[in-house]
Amino acid sequence: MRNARSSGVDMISNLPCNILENILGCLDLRNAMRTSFLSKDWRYKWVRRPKLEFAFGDLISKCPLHERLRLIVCIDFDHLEIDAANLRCFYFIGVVKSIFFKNTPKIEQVTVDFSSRDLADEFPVCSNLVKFFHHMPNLQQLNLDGWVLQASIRNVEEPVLQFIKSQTNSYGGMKVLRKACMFVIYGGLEPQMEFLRFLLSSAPALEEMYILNHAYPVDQVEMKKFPSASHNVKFKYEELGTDIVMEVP
Amino acid sequence: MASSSSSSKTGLKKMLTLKSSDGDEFELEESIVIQCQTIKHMVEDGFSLIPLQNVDTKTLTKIIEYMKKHAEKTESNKEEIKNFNKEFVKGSFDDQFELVSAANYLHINGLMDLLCQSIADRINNKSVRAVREIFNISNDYTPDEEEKVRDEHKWAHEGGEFDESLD
Repeated sequence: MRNARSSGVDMISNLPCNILENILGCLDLRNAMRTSFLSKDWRYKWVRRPKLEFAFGDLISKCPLHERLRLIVCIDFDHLEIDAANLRCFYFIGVVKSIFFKNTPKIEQVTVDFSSRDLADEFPVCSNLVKFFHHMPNLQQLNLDGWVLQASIRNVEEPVLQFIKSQTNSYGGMKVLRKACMFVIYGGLEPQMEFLRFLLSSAPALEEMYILNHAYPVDQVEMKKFPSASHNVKFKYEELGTDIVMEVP
Repeated sequence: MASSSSSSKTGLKKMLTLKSSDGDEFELEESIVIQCQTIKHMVEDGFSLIPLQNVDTKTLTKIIEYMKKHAEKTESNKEEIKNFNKEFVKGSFDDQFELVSAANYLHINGLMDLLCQSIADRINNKSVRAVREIFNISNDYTPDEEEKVRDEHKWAHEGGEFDESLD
């Protein structure tokens, strides 16, 4: 066996940050996280890994220092609970039964997209969307895939539609929301239209409502009739083909 | 600035000199050395003698060995390169840390990745105690503090068998 240990000096802890990040990036999440047990110095080194992937079914993500979280093509887990005090940007493409923003006081940008329509059909997806806004006092931009709403109501245990209908606003949870983008499918079925109504009546600072139509155009006349909390909303509409993934600027 | 392309027009291979922090000089073909991004940029700026103040002779010799081998890389000798890489990382940790720091400074991405992976392999699936031992990391947590950190990431250490060996 090679003689790996020699000088007796702790050299690894003193390597430049970017090298350590690179080393930790070679480990899976579980092994990287376990380095926090080594010493005080190592407690938060792992959170600076260049990539963050999730390989576990039910995951509670505790990322105290993370500011941006992009989860792409996530189909491996059921429930995602976001506990990240510094998170500003959350981007999700995949399939999940629920996303719960537990502790996200700084979050500014949220994108939720169900990338695969086939998977959405296969799994009864319920994203407990209602809770989205409980912990997002700083939400400025929301990009939402209509499938999130559409799929939600298929699960009887999650009567999102009834909930949305019964709400007049989101308890001020969307006070600073400026931009909203929704990927509307099938010309806007009831849950989607109800959600749009909910959004417009709850966001006093909304400047832009961007509607991406999929397959059938949404009824623009009906949309304009929704009571709006903001006086300056600009509506934009765009037609899209199938299998378009939302892009965040 | 002097033109860096003039000599290639003559058909001769352009040579560069690398100078280690110990003052030793190594003459190499430009095509080999430009794997290293830092040097590549200096060559583009017209330098032909490149002083490397952060890299000693021992480390530079190893890095040149790596760059020479990887300059030979083709479609057909992948296996050979793989074996070379395997042998290359069989040094002491002190050497590996020197090399990884130099690779970082010189921006040799392939070498950087190779060494980081090799170091990571010594952490992967090891027990916390073994990793501390292997890398001489002293545990400055109090038992209470350590308990708290372990509690925070329970799932990361539960249900797994970890390797206690030090190799």
